[in-house]
Amino acid sequence: MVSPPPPHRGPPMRRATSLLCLLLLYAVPALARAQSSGSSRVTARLLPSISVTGTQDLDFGTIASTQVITVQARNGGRFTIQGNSNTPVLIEFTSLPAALGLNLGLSAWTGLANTSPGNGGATAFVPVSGGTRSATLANNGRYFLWFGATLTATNAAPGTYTVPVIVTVVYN
Amino acid sequence: MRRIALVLGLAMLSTHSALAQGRKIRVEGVRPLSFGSLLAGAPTTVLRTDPANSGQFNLTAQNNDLVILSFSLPSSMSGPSGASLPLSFSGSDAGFSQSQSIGAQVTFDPRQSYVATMSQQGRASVFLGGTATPAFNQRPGAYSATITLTVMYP
Repeated sequence: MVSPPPPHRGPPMRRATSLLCLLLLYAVPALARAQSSGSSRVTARLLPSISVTGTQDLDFGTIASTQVITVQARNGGRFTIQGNSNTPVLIEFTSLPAALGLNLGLSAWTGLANTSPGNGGATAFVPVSGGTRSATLANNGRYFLWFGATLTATNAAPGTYTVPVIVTVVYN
Repeated sequence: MRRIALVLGLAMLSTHSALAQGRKIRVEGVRPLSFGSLLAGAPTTVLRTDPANSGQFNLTAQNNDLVILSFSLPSSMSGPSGASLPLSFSGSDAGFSQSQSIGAQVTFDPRQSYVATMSQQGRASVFLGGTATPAFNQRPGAYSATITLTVMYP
């Protein structure tokens, strides 16, 4: 009768070490998981491009070769500005010409500004060529400008005269 | 002896777990990276030193410890009707500040992991800039995306 040998378990100290190693194996990943994440936003608002349209000419009509005529801003040329609602803009009077042609001087420019298409209740201002004016577009993104001026004809030649009035508008 | 070893092992485990939990680490997004109003076709860059518009994350971790910072950066912002507005980040668009001061940053590349040292108080801030490049025909409206900063111990 031969008894089977007792199962080999190794010295007690080795078993303790193995157990420790196993336990450490669990512990180490716990250390590696020590991390944190935080989020934030990146934001932007893309504004629609601004359009500036001359919707009515500043028209002095038919004049004599020597005459002085003034067109008030309320009856003058009109620009319609369309952009982003309630947004500040800078309006530059890029070119308010000093002459309509030879011997046809333009002077005494006047202006009106309003957020509605009618100029009743509009704000009067004195535009200067190259000068600027700050404004805020209306709820519907619109803004209106009117211009008047005085035309002084001094022995001007007959004909039809035109000259551009240029207004530039940028978001401010 | 087996009982002793088991007890010893459990003791080690609980010690390391406590260590893991004890190494506090926290990231908080405190200010969004804001490009404000953009115009179609006009690229806009926000500097990481911009006190109003740069993104800011505050970090809390162990005093003086090394930490690894890694960003998850979006390549675009989403907008109206699924429109997408391209975003980009350069190698100098992020800054780390032990003092949490926007004026005292160490530049790093947000596109790569970065190893930093926390302050003696266990605090720090990360600042982020970037560039938005709207197309000429970009659809107007509000755009946004999410930026995630992950901080871990090495």
